[in-house]
Amino acid sequence: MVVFRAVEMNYRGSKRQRGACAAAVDGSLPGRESGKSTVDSERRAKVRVGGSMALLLAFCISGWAPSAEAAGCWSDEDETYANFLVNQVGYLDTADRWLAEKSRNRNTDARCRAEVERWQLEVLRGSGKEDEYRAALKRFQSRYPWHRLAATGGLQEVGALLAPVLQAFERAAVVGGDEAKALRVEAKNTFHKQVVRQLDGQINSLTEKLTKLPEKAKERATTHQARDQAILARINFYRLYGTKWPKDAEERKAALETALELADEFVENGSDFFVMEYSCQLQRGVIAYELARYLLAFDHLSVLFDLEPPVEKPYPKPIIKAFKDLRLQALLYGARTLNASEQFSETVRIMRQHFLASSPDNPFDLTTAENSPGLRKYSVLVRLEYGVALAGDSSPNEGLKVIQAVIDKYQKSSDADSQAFVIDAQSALGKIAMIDGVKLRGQDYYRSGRGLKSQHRFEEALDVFREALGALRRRELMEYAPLCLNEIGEILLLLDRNAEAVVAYAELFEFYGTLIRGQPYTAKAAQNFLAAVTRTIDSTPSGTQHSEWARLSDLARKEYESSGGSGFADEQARMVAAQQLEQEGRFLEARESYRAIPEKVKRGGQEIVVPFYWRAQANAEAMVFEAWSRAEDRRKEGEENPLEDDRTAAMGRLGEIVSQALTVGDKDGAATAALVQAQLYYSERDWVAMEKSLRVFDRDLAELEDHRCSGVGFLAISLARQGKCEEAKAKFDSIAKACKDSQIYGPTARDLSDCFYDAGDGLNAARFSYRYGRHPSSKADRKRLDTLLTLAGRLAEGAGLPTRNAARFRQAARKYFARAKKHPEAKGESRRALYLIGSKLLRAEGKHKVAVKALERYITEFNAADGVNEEDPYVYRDLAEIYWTSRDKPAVKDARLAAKNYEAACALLNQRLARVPTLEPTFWQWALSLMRVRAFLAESGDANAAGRVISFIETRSGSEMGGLKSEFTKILTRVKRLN
Amino acid sequence: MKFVFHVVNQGLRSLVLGGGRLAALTIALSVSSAPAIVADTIVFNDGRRSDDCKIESAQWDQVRYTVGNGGAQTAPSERIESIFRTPRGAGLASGRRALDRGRYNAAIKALAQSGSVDWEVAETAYLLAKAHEAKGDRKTAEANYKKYVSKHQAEKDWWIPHALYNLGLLQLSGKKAKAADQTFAKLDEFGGNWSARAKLGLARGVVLAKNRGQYLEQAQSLGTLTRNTRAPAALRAEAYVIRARIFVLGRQYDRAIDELRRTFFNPPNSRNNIYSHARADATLAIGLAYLASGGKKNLEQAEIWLLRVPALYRNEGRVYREACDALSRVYEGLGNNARSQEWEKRAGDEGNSP
Repeated sequence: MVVFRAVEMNYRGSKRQRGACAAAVDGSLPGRESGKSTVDSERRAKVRVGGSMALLLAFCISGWAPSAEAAGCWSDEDETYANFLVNQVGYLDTADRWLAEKSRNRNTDARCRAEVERWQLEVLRGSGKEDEYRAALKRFQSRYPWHRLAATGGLQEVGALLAPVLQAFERAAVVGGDEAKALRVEAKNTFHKQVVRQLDGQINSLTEKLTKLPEKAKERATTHQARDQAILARINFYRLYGTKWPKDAEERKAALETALELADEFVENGSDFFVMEYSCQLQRGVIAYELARYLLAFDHLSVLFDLEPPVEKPYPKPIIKAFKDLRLQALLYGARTLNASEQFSETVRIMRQHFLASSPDNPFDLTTAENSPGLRKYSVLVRLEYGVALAGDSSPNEGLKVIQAVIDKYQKSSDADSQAFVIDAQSALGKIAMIDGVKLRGQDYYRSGRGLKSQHRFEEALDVFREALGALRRRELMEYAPLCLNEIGEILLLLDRNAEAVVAYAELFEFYGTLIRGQPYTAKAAQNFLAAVTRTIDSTPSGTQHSEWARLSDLARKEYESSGGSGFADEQARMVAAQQLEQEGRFLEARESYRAIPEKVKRGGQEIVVPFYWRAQANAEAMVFEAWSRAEDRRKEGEENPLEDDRTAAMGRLGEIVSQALTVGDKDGAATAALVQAQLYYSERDWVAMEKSLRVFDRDLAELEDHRCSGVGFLAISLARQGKCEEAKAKFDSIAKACKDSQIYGPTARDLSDCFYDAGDGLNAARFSYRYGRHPSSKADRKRLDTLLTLAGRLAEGAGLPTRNAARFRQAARKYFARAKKHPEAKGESRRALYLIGSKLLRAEGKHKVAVKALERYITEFNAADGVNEEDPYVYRDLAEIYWTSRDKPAVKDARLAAKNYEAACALLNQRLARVPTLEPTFWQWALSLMRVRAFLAESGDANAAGRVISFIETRSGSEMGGLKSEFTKILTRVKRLN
Repeated sequence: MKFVFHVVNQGLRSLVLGGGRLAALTIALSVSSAPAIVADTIVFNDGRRSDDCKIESAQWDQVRYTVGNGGAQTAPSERIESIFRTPRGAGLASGRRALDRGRYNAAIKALAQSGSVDWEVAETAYLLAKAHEAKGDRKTAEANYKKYVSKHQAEKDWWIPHALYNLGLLQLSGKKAKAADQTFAKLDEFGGNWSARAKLGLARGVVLAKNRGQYLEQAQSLGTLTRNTRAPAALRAEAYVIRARIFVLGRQYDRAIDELRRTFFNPPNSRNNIYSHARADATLAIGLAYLASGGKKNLEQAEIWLLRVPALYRNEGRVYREACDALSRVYEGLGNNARSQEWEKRAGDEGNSP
């Protein structure tokens, strides 16, 4: 246990740098080499390696000078609070003052003083006072040479210098051109003149120190390790820096060469710390791989394939896990190395020997590694490389089977890791198709093409699908030719090569039309065919006069109809054209196109109703609103919106459309019109009118499935906005299950959370926040600081309430809190909100004392009694709740403190009621809590408390008391009985 | 705790790079460089395909191969449509791929490296000539074909008749009719299907030279070949396409179109719609027939047929280039200059890709 705590402490200190260049300090390796679709996976891989390296390093670091937190004078509580102030909420001034108070205590010993000063250093660095930090660090090093920070502080400092270098490269990759060149040149200068110079200086100084230290000196092991760690970091820095350059850049090669040279030297010279040597050996292999020196890379990596810990058996579990992880990484890069050099048969042999061979007596057996969550990542990646190798080794079918098995296994799960594995597997399929010299069957090319398409490598996918067509033998033809043609058509359409898409679809329907009838993709293919031919005609001068396009347009319409079309292909094509205009922002033209759709058409001498006529009319009115909104955005002050009259007219027409559509039984048209109308009222914030327009979903459209989610969801929103939380909740509950995948789910949950929050119902507010935060529709919102703060705050509050979901809420709150902290806009005012949320989390985690400390300091720091800041009353309320609820049975002393803080909270909130009347329910909720506390005090013999209860309730008995009058009356009766 | 410092001063070098390990590693690496057993592919004329065989030798008249652990078998080349041997050298593998993808410069670069075994050396030399031809460098291509033939004729390499056929066509397109005649005469000596191919070559010569005097004779000769059910399907398909081109030159546009449609684009028999080189060529030929017919409606038909080539047969270098060029003319005829220029550019880009 002590071992791991030491590691944690070591890394806690360098938390910020880890964010920027964790990989360099930890020795992380890139997990992927492919395109952008695997970025998430790469990030996960980095995190994983960081974790495993930390675990491995634990065995080195455990021998360091003991950490001071065990000294007693610096408690766990102090450490948590310091971490809260400095790293979590970034309240550096507060931290500085608190640490200054701590340091004034003369009874503390050296270890305790060192911890205080360590945090003071953190404050200096966090404030950006680099010069002062460096000077203070030097003082610290001379004063406490036995402390771990004395040895590694410089390394962290250099890590901080590397971060902007790497950021510059990332920016260069985005901007391109001359700006990118300039950024890279600047990054190069910073790297060599600052990062490398400083790191070299540190290594030299540590080496010098080491030579001067006597053999038996206590500090020797620490210094030795710090020196080796710095050397390892330098290798990683060079590797990271090198791989950021474009593939053909001289600088890339030079940096990687240097990294390799340094890594060689490190391993050749040996280290006292075996883990560092293993880590460096892995680095050697990866660097050589990056340099495309495959034989050398394999040479370095292969020594790790069956590496065992040089310690006594039986091996502890963490050691086994860490070594399995190391072996898997070595195997992954070993396989990639061999595959890149087309040594596929050798990859297969190695995989069979080291990865697939099962041995129950071998603690490092990797055959079941995929079952272990911590090892799954690399295990799956290794398996995929094995599949690629099999394909390259003239067993394409076997290779494809291995990869397909990964897809089959993980595609059923919707969690992020599983989805990433599916993408990895598809990427592996694409790799197979691109292997030189591999000749696949047509159907295998088809699957590979799908892999490339899933990575959005459309041109390559097109090539592979065409290759698939050419490779199809007679047996496969009928099954796979239509699939390939469909993919080719779809990609060409995506690439806006419409005419080519038309001929691909024409080939599909002319030759395989009968065969594909009823296939899952046929309806979509027919729709795409119709869209492609319509677009082609539109973009061709005199397109409608083109005999062949007209023929193909007829064919497309026919196919569209026979694959489930409505029997109104011409009108449908007009709808598609109108939608196209809408997408292009040509709203008024789109309105005319929608309006041009006739109500009835003649078929076989008879007039029949066009089923989507009313929907088209509703859409036409929606276009008016879109055009009006755009004009509104562009309108200068004092000018009138030229579409104001059109908009008013549209409002009226929409009501008519609803009733006329209902009269003729067109529920779809009525629903569309009602939703458009509701949207207009929403923009005007007229919740009552919005509710009224949507009530149709409660009556005439109650059975309609298609628009039920939107209709009832918006109805719930309109109710929530009026404060009718329970009714809104009932509406939401009625659709929650069926509409889980609907876009309306998230916004409805958000509005319900707001409604309950305003009503003082923290538990329901947290419940709906939780649902909202988890729903995919909130993804864009979750990038905004205000959303993150709201989510974190409400969930943290919910986590502190008695609910079986507390743990879930706490976990989610932590996640959003962490994201909010990292948000670029998290400064100024928002820091206060972060502080408050942080304290709520402490409370939810049962760290009541630290939470109280944090809140009390807030009150002093920000003069909360003045109530100037929005959070002030909530701070008092939170404090009161902690005192009142932290024990199973409250003590009288705590109840007094609770009452005092509730009073302050209520007083501040009362001042705000005139300005924010929606806070009234909250005020009464807090007042009720205050009365409960006072009643408790009265029952404990406090006559003054009893008097205040009676006076407060009786003087307000004329009002409804926020709907809580009966609750207040009960308390009044209870207290009066005492008298 | 105690295991942590047990290994102080016992570095990785001594732990894993010691004598025993190092020796084992050396052995592993030397094994990895030895040729492994790999699978090849043979596609027979009757549509059968053997994916897991090992081709022992491939000569233009016969192929010796083994399947699994079975004994060696021999198949006459007459029965074989194509073979695919897995190369050990990177040059041939990437050269093949680049050639397939229309990246001719890359193919030439890759194929400049000679293979490590005899058959690879030969195939590399053959494909190098083909890559130069595809790029449009006729002179170098011709020289390379000749070089390959003179070097590998004695060993009866599989690609010799292929090279002669291509060389003949190249000479025809370079208006070296006499040299082409001699080359096809040489090819005729190979007998069987190659004799038929020599006839196809001569027929192509007539098309290229627009030699009206021989249209009828060549059309009849090709007609005989198309009716020969014992001839490989690919050969017959090619005969149909060349015959159609002759019909076009003789202004029998409808006949050319009808025959090609019936042969290659017959929906009730779509099982025969193999997406072969010949089908790509047939698509182009129909487009050209409509183009040659003239008139707005025919140009519109030509447009649709020709667009199928870039959409479905982009990998067919020559066919693609000709289709782009023809599309440029179609759009010019339809008065759409922007598109005409776009397709002219695409035709020009082909072969100049890196």
